[in-house]
Amino acid sequence: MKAKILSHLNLAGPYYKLKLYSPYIYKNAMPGQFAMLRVGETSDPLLRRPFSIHKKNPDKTIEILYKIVGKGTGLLSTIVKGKDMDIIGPLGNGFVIDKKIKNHTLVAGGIGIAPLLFLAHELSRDKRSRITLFLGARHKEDILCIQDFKILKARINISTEDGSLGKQGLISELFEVSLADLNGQKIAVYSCGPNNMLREIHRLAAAKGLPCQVSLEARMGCGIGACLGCAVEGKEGYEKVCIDGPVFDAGEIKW
Amino acid sequence: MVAKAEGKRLKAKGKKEKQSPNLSVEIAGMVLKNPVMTASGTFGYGIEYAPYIDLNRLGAIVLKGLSARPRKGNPPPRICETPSGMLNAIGLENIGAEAFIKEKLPLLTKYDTKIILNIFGDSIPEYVEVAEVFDRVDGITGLEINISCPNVQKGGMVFGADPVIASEVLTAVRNATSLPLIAKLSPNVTDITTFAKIAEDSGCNAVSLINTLLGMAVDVRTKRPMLANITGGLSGPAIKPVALRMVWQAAKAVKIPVIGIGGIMTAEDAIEFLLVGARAVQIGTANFVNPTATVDIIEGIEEYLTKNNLSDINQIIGRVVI
Repeated sequence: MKAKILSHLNLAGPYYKLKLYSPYIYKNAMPGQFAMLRVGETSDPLLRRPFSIHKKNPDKTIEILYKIVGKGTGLLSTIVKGKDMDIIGPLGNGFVIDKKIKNHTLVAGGIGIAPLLFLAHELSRDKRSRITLFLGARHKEDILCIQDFKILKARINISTEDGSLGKQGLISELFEVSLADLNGQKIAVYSCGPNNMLREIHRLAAAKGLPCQVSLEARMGCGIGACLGCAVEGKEGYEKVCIDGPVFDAGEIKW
Repeated sequence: MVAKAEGKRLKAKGKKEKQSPNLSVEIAGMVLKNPVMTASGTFGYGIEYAPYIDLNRLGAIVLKGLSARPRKGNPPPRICETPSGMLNAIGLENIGAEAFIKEKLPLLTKYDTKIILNIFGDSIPEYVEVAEVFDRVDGITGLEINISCPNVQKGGMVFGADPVIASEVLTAVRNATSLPLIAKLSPNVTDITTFAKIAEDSGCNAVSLINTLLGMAVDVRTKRPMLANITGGLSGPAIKPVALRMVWQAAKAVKIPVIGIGGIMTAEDAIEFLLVGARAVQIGTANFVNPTATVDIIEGIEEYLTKNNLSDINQIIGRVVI
């Protein structure tokens, strides 16, 4: 599938935002789903790269927020607006929203914020939703999307490892502190970020009996369940991040 | 008005006379509508690709390797990208023969294409067991025997790199089934023709080659191998010249048909294999990059024949000019 690149912005440092015109993905995408992008036209790099869908706009565009981490994303960052992007999506299973729960806590580590903005938009369609964001990163330059969450009236908690913005420390520590004030209140937890962080968020949520969904990342070959390359160890054998996930109930994963 | 209608009719007739070229090939008694098959392990159980292509268009679907019992596969990471290629060490994860027959096969037999099952085992009796199970089932056109997977401890390449054991496995499977048999050969041997001849002598009806080349990659930051299995099988455009050379050698060495596999991304790649003597080709890693690769290649081959005024695919098979 081809999608025209309407804009491609360097937000700060290694962070980029890609806006694509795709009525099909706009119509079908759910928060937490992803798309496979062809980052070059030659055989090197060979494979497509998976990216979560960051946002949908009423003008039938979708946005992808990404960080340059290697050759593929480096090459992607050089593609200019006006060109067509070769894209397959939406793919995988997204977040499941429990309509009975009003309080939603989103926990992101660094670029893990990408799928959570789409989720926050979806959650905010229910006017009773109360959204709380925990966003952690190494430095303040790695803290993204704050304005977008402010518009959604989310309560925002920030931490950085070097203390350059918000509380110094890990976001899981801030999250843990917040759980002490729950007073038996039911919240749903949604998280995306490094595996160490997800494991900790899962542990903390499980200890309080809170439902927790995590969005996992993996090297992928095909993105459609054919190559079995993106296996992750689940409680009942290997799960495939592309078709069984990328969003899993945290309890399904063998941490 | 009459003249105009007449002209139209003549034109239509003229069009009909210029028929599209024949793409049909015969392999091991199986008549394929075209020479393009999928390569085992790159096309799942087939149905995964139904949203992207019309499976009826394919010459044959070769499915992910199946064993008598389900298999968990290797721990992750299982894949990594390399220049113009990829390494994989999936470890032959599969749902097992019985579950395949019950859950997947009924979804495939409704398509007008040939269904070829890739089979393997950890021992000769296990190869025989899975062949016997499939011999009793309708809807299966043929079997491809995997004696070349580099990512498992037993079976696989261990069998395919030892002439004596290779002969024993293939002969045992031959005696266990009347289905057409294709031996899938490993490139990780000194002389591919030795193994092609063993397959022929063991009663196999065709050989397919090459499976992946044994490879390795290391992350210099962590100093660890990129794959949990340490080594993996290299596939993709990077291996095409090696594959082409081996197909050429094998096609000269045996009378049974040779199926060419290895880094085919485009129709031009496929035609190269046909020219050096492959009677059909399998498309593997290309499916990951482009889910419509198989159909694009079929259309490209047809275009090539038309452009060169050739009426039959068999007019290019083995016609490399040396």
